[in-house]
Amino acid sequence: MKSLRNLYYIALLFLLAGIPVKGKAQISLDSYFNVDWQFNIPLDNKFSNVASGWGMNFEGGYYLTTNIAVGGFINFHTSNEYFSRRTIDLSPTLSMNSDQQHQLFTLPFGALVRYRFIEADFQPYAAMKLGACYSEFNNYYYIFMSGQDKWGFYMSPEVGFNWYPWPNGIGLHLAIFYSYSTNRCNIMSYTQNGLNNLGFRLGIAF
Amino acid sequence: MKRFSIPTLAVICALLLSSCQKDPDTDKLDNGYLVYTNYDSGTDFKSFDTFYVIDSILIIDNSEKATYWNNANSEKIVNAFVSKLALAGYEVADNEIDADIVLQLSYINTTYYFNLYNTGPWWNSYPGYWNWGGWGWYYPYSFSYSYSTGSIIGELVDTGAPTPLNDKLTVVWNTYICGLLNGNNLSLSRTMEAIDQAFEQSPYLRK
Repeated sequence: MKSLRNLYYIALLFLLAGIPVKGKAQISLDSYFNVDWQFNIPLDNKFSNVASGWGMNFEGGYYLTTNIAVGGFINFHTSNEYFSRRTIDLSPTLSMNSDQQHQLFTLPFGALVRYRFIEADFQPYAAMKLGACYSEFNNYYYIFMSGQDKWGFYMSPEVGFNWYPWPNGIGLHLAIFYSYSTNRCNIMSYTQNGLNNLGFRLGIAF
Repeated sequence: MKRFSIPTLAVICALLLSSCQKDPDTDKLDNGYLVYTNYDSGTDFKSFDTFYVIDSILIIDNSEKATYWNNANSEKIVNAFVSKLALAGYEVADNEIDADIVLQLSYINTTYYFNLYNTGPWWNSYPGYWNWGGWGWYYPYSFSYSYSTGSIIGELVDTGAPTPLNDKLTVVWNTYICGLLNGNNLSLSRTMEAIDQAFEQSPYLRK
């Protein structure tokens, strides 16, 4: 909860720093493009539940109206969790004792709708992303690896802002998001039904 | 004002995505042993009274002749299994003929036979595998392991159990222990620890 509170303060700081002023610093007022570093916090993930910054996000959109844009996105994230030595039951009769390194890689992509509240150098917005999510669940133990590749449906509401304080067309982007995908895994004794995440993205805007 | 074209941005994205998956941090793994155990849920382990451990450890490699591991280290390993079965409440028999359960130990020197017979009962074809009065061994349960060199397999046979064609011996418990090499040499202390773990995670194996 402490990390969530810190995220809130960071977002508030950015909002207070940005004074919405109508301007032409953005390359094109009809479109936008974001490249972000991504920090992800898994929620109750039994396979890999460690928050990490091993991810990036790419998205772009075209404004159909002054406020509403449609576009596409793709992002990726890796979460690793180490499981100390333990005995797990692989079946009612089969047991295994080892330590393990779990790796969860997700790659969602799809379409988005974004609503910006004002057309200015500082553009707060709300967005919804829908699409597919490719995922890899890998369990490394001793010299072996057990893994599954899974696909699922992905949805992610997001709020944030693009801020263009400079005249060269490059701005800043900050977003806070929640995401859910229907990806499932059943590896050894670890079963996960759906992926829930909270996170934020910090990057550049064009 | 400098402008960024869509193709330029696409190239940047492609480059970033091409190396997007972070490698797992396998350095955190303790490089210790791995222990599997499995058993026949239909077997009443309390019904057995006596046991015997075959005193030679069969070496599994790509040799066409049976070779056995007989030295001070193999003797310590055999004795460790004997001690564990005795602690479980069973009595040592004088020979395999008189024992209710018999343990055969094998040491994997290479995985040649596992690769060759990975879809079937490799032990039927392996030369010199302990084969007492029958044609091979019968597993009343299914299992699938990943095999590696420097590993020990222990298979506990119920000498009185019937098999579907009464031509095999029935394995009622087995363990697969790997990660025993320290470089090219066997780590005896790690082996003893792994043997302890095999029995620790087999609480049903009690008189």
